[in-house]
Amino acid sequence: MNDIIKRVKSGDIEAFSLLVSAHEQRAINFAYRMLKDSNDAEDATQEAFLRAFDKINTFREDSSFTTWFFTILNNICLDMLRKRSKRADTISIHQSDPNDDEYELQIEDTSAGPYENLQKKAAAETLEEALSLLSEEHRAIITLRDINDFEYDEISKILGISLGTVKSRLSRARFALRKILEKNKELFL
Amino acid sequence: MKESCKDIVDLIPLYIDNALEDDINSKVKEHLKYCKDCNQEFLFLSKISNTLQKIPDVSVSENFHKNLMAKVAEQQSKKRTRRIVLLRRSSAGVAAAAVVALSVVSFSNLNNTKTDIDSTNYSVAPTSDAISVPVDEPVSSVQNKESTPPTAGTEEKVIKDISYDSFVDNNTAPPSGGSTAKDIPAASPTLPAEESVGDVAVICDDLTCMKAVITLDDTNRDAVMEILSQYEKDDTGYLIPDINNVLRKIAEQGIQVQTESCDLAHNYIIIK
Repeated sequence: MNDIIKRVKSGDIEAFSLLVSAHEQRAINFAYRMLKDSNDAEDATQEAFLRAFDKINTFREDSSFTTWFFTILNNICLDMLRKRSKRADTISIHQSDPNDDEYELQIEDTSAGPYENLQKKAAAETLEEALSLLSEEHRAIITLRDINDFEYDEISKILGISLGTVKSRLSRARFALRKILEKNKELFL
Repeated sequence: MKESCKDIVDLIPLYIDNALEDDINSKVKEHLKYCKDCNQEFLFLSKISNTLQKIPDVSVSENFHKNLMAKVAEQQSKKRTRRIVLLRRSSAGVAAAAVVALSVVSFSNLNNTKTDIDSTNYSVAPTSDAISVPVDEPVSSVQNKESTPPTAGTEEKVIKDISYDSFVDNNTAPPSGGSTAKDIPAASPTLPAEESVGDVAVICDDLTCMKAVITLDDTNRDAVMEILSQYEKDDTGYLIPDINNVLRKIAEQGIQVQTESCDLAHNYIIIK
């Protein structure tokens, strides 16, 4: 990988194409779960690769390109979500504070309508929809860990949080997802 | 659920990742053996994670990679306009530069105020104005674009901006009668391809209005050239993907780098 990075730093586009090929599917998987829109996911991924190429000389070769790149991608996704949040037409559960004791209660309060409709769907499809109902913070960490298979220390670097926070946030995120899926439990047992 | 069960359940999200300390991991494992409720919870959370791991990839547009790489190539071509040109000592070179400068004067009114070259990292001292030309297209095409001759006022401005004596040493003769445009010989606008080291290296960031000037002499020439030699070079100069990085390397050698705003140099590189 270091050889490829060196080639990219010297302006070798073919080498960068190899990096793109190695990361694009995982990147789009992540961006799609964050943004819930295929076009936006591709736009965000493209922007992240362009930014990575532009800033490749600031990348330290003794660190991981993958975590560096996903940090860029996550920031771009969050920017897009912030811009989008001005519109009131997206369905989401608003989590004001993940440490708030009433957080789970908020989820239950909003669960009556949309969650009923999940029952008839297959587990994977149900999960996709349940994921989209998580807060963006929880969606990011679940996607990084369970879908993109990142280790805890990698997630820590990507999200810029401590290892302890990774553990506590991932625990909360998994419980939040579990709560949403409570009524579809039979699909998972 | 018993109180102790709640404690165990809280640990399950990390237990399924094998992320607990060994002693705690053992406690959870033992508990799950005899507690049906907690084991049910463990199975539920595990299945959710397992299903997520097997969730199908999102489909990617057929041309995603191709379109992205086209944009990367486009971005790289913009980057490559950030170059270093070694200024040459000969008066013929100065004259050629003057001709080029006259030909591009009407392109020099861009208004980009972004600053990429970080002047705070280098010793800053005022230097005089200089002439700039675009480097991402052949100089001859630049001349062709300029179909209207510069006005008299513009000529005065350009001649003033040449300021060759700020870049060459005092022993170098100025171009003969170099005070008006018509006195300047119609030298070839193509830049010389020699690898000889000139007196001054000027780095101009095409995306900003900053330039950096390095005065070369016997004490620093080899060091600067060694740094520059790591980069690709064409007949207009070295292609530098990251100017700040080069400036930093040069500054680390104890070589003074002067930075200043370019009043003309937006999107252009300084030559002489």
